[in-house]
Amino acid sequence: MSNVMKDYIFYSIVILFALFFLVMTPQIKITNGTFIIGPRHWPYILLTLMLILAIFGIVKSYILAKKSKSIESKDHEDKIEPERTFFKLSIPMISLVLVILYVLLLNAIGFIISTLLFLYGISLLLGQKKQLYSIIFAVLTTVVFIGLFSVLLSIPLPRGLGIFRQLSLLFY
Amino acid sequence: MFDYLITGILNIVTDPMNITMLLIAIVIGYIGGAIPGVSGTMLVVIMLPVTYALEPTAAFILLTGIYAITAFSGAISAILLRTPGTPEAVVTTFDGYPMAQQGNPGRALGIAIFCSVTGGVIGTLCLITITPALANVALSFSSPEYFALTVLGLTVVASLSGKELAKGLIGVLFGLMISVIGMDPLTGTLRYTFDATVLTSGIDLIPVIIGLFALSEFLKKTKDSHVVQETISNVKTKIFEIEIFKKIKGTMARSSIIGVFIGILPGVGATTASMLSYSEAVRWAKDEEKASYGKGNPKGIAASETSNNAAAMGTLVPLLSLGIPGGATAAVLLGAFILHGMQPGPMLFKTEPELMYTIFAGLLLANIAMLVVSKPFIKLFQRIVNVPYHVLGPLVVVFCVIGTYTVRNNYFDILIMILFGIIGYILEKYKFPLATIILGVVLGPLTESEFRRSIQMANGDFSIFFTRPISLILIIISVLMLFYPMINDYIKKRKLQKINISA
Repeated sequence: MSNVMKDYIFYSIVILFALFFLVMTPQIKITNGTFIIGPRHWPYILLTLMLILAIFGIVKSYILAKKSKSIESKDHEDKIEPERTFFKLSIPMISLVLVILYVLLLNAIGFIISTLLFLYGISLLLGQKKQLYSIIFAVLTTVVFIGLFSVLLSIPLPRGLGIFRQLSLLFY
Repeated sequence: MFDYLITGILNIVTDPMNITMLLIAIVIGYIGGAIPGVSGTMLVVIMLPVTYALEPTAAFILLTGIYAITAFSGAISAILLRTPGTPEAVVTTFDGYPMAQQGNPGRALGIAIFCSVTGGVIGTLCLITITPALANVALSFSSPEYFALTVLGLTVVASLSGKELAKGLIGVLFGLMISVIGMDPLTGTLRYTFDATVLTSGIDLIPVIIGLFALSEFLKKTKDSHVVQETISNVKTKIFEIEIFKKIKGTMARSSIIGVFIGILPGVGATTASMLSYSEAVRWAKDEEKASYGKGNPKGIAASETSNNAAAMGTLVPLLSLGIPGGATAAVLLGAFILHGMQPGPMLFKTEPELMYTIFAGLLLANIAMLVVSKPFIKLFQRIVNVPYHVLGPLVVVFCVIGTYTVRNNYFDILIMILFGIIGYILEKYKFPLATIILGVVLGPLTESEFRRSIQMANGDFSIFFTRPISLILIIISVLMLFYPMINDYIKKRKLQKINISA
């Protein structure tokens, strides 16, 4: 049952996606009329195919679900269990939040400090037991990354704003 | 052709930068491939940013070298831990681990190394001979043929998506839609930019790849707690034993042919090749021998390792000759070519023959290097495989961020990367074939513009794709490819039944 539900949700999202872009398509301005196939046709083809496939998918999983109803109902009870952890903040979720925070900070306070903070935090989250090791790991890695990318390969890394920009200029 | 190849080898051996890159590729390929959960695709993705600053030659020696090495290095953990380091090595666990358990880990590893090198070298030689010939044929292609070719490339989904063909096709269409966003290459019209200037230049390929393959993999891995793996220690690797060689030479010959052939077919990659070659080996075995497969038969290891290395090289044929990626890693390599301002395909052989042959030479050297490097590496294996994830994971994230940022120095790209990381993580939970999206994004611009050019050429006549012989043949092959998994499934089921009965 839950598998069929998942399929329904997936295909519904696909249909919504396709419909949204279909509605947006007429807004594409046609500036050059000499092309037989204009900029609108290709997206129209893609989105139509997408809609057809999604509807096909829904119908297919509906038929399959009907066919194997007797088997599914047995599985039903075990399959509810893993769903619950979805609402708790699992480690992947916290990791994701940390990654997002890191990226947002990157633009404001620059590569050096945000990377230090991120590496320290995420290594503790992922199971590093000793604070000191986390700090050493964060500092060492940041130094290596700046040395490798900014100094050696002269790839510009985000510098941040204000004082943070000044700070980064000291290093690279 | 031979002069070019020799020039290529000289290019690598005499240039300190190139030889360094080859050595780095070998080291990274071994370490990454040995650690379960870091696939060859991910390694190539992670190393992409490092190559921006490099010359194209050095960059591609590094990337393709890593690719060649990971085709083998996954076998080490497959044999010693029963956990394939890369997906390609799954089949190697069938016979490799039992043999290691029976007290012959050195022999199992030796067979794997010897067969990998053989398969890899044969694969590379086929690559070197077939690719230029195919590219030459492709030179006479015009827009309709190219469109048909990209369609053929897109039917790769058929094999990437397994049983969920509808989902795979939706993935491809989603990827194609992503490539539509931004400025239309033919008319300059803005499409789906929602008046945001950052979207004018479209969504770049690299953030999508890094997000889908590397970041989502990181998120998935975070919940696995780190367990120190007990490996079989005191391994004495015996690379060549004459009595073993006599036993497995037939299997090796057959498996390398299967590997190269499967590899060249767009989309059917090394994993499929090793599965098929294993089941062929079982099928060809004498009745009294069949029972020993799965219990440490050297032929089982030989079948898997020869064919997956041969296939890894074969996969590069459609990429380098036609510009069509044969699988996920090839799609990333295609992205790398675009990054360095090149479009792989027949023209590249005319414009950059030296680069192409240097890449070939690099692959050849990388494959041969396995013979020498594997032994000392296996001694270090125990320590490398136990790098905890709280060290590895954070590094992956920082690589993802830097890799994305350096493409265009665009902060917006990092946000796109994160977005696709989340999409990838969710879709992965639904067992959605992520590589299909990449395929769509990679081939999107080419497919659309060749499609429109063809119609323009024919003055609006859609039958142009079916009246030109080459394009018609390609479209017929595409249709067959699309339905091949269904046919193949049926054959496989019958084969499995046979194996089960005999085992």
